[in-house]
Amino acid sequence: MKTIDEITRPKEYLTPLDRHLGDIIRRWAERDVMPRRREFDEDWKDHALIEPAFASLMGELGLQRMLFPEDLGGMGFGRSSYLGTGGFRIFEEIARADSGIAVAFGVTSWPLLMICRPPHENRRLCEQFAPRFCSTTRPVFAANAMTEPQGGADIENLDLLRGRTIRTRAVRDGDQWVINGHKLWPTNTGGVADLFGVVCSTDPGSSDPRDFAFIFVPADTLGVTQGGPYQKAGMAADKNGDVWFEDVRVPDWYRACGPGDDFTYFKEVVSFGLMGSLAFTSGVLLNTFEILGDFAARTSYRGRLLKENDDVAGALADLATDAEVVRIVGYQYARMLDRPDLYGAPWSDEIVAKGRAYKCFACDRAVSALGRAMELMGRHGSDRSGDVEKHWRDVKIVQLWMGGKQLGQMEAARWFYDCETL
Amino acid sequence: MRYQELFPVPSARIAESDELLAESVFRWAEERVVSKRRKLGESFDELLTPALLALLDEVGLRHLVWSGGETSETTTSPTTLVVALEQVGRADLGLAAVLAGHFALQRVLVRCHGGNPSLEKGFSPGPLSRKTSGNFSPSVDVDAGVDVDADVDEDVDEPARNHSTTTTTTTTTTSTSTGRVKRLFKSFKEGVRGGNFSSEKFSPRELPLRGWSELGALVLPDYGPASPAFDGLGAPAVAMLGRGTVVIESRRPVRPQHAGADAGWFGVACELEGEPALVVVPGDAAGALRGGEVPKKTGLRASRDAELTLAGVELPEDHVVLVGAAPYSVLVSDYRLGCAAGCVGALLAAHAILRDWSEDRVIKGQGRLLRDNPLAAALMGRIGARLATSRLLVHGLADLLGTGSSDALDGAGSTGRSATTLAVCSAVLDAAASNLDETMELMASAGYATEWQLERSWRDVKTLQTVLGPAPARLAELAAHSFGCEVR
Repeated sequence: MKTIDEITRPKEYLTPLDRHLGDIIRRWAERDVMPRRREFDEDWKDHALIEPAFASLMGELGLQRMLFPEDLGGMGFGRSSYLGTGGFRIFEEIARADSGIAVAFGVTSWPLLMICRPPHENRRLCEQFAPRFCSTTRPVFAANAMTEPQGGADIENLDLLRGRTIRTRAVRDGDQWVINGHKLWPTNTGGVADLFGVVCSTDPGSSDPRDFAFIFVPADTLGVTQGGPYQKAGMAADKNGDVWFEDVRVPDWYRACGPGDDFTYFKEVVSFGLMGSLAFTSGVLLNTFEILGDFAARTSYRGRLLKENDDVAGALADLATDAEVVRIVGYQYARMLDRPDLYGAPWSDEIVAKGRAYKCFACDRAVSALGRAMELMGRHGSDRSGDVEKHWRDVKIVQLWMGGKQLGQMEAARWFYDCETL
Repeated sequence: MRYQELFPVPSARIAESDELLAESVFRWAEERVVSKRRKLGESFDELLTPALLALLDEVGLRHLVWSGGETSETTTSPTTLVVALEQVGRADLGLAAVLAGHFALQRVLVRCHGGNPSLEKGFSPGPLSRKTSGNFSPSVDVDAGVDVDADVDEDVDEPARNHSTTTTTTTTTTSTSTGRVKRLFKSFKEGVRGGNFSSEKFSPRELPLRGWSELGALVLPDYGPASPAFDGLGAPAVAMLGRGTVVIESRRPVRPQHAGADAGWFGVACELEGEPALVVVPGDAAGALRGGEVPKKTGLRASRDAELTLAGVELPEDHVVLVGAAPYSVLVSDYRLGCAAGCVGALLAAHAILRDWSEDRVIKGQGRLLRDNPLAAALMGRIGARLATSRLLVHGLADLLGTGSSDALDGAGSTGRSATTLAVCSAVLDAAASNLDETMELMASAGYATEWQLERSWRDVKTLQTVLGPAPARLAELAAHSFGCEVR
């Protein structure tokens, strides 16, 4: 059987650190995660078992420092022209073991993109927050507080609504922002996050992009309350909960990029979120490729190995094809984010729309492929000990987040077909 | 019932007693499961076991298929089973699947061996309990006395016993709803004799297993060394006949389809002289070893798994309750029909959740209801269509299986019926999986949050798809029937 390293990647365009980074993460995953991931599933509330895996990845290996400039103790990836493909490799390797860990780790970098990435790097905020992440071996998490109770995915629907439905209000009071609002579902809530990037409106109901504000709020700020984690179908390592902001006061310079620019560059955050989703999906498919291949090579059917039956071989080929195609598409998108000179700005409508389309495609393929893999394995497919079912539960959540499938379809349709009234 | 208006099925075969049964199980579902879900989640001890007990005792499903005692030439119709399991599945697909296997086994026993004293002692459901109302209603104090059947013979001998050692007597009770209950349980009244599990065996101190241990669990073929009896799949066990006995041996630990950890007896698919056979095995038979860690699975929490090893289990020969491909396929068909019916119930539950959730969900910030959006509505249209057709298919299949000579287990056309059953069951489960996938897409985070109860059905349906057997084997079976393919 071929290894996952023989599933195609764009070898002509990988960061020089690719192999090194990949090896480190794979060793960590195979040592700290894969042997215990079934137990992690039961640990969704306390994270007592999961925490050491985060500690070794983020604190000891130091990957929580990834985006910050090197002179501030970071790894300088925020300024790298390989952030897309390098990030893809890291996320994919982690998700191969546990996509819940991958998203909790990935989301820590998500709001930080707003201040660590040229051309909108905010040096003052980098200096302010770098020590939290770069001067400790304790895992430190960040969260993007976007979704609100009344509108579900409306906030991610930037193209159409332009922030009009955001109810979390930020009011300027002297040299401070005063924030009031209620957010649902951010990854790394439920008591996990140390720092929030909060999507607010300075004038709720307005669709003027200048009223869209992205403001950083340390979790220990007075007036911030985090609820407990929700119980979900999967992704135990990713805690989600409610966050309330009640008369929360932060310095006015905690706004990421400023009027107009917050709106523009937040779309880059969306693009990177879509790239991450593609990488998680690819990682899940790669591990399913491995598990199913192993199962088919040691299970007997019709007097021969399962993989030697034509019908089963057809299904195996389909899974390998899905893994190949999703990986190729995912890396292609990551390259598009790295090469604005060729493909346009990562915050452009085109890049966002294409990312939506690729994510829809990849998730649909993965959900379907994993469901078929489970059916092929029969009752072994739904055994928790087989891990395919865990990936199946997890990747369904990837399919549904960031506005879900329908928002993805609408954004793609608007861009490809110039739909104007959707 | 509202479901008959929303997703109608032909009513010609639905007897008045079926409607009453559906009502009873519907009330049981609301009272004992649906209303407690949010608090109790998937708790086996606090929710599912008490619910099963109420279903067996108070609704009376213990006697739905086999009253015990004297031989019945016919047993409960497939339509009745569908009506009941649909409502059970609405509450919990795991419970429906457990009962689908149990009822399939009981139907085989009734149709082939209802008069066999040895089997009566071992596997009939026992006497009607005084708690059995058959008309589940919270307003009725069942303990105060419900007349299950005024004609029930009170002069009951001590029941036959197998592995139990105590005596059970039957109590006749009174009720104002005698007429309805009589109709519902008119075929049960002969079941007051027999039964191997005494009330003492199920004493309260032995909870939570009371109820579970009277259930039978199917053990069907899986991947493994190919058996000529099971079209390339491995036989769970090999059976050898001796002088009035049968000895069965599993080549490796096998896993019953459902409730392996809790069932009291097993119906084990065996290879017997190159043919498929079914042997019933008491859970406490010498050589039947059940144990090891209970493997966790994606869903169907009502069904706790365990591995079973059959090491030279010797039983009376009459424990071989069927031999041959045709009767075996009828057994499997009954099981598949029950599972499909439970799945329709799960779809009805998902429909109710989506309907409730979409009542006030707005998008795009202008008070537009999500459900009125053309894209969401298109998805909902597909979801509704699959539910309507699945329900119709399952009821149509019950109709098909309930006609002709299928009661004899070897009736002409049983291969066709079996293949059609497999096709319908596969189609219904595929439809259910698609519906739940798409309902989750619509509900997004609410779809995968346990709070909304949808993701549980999604896990349950996928798990049931896997438990029904490996996909290649199911497709090969259909190809063999439809086109004569000799898959090799």
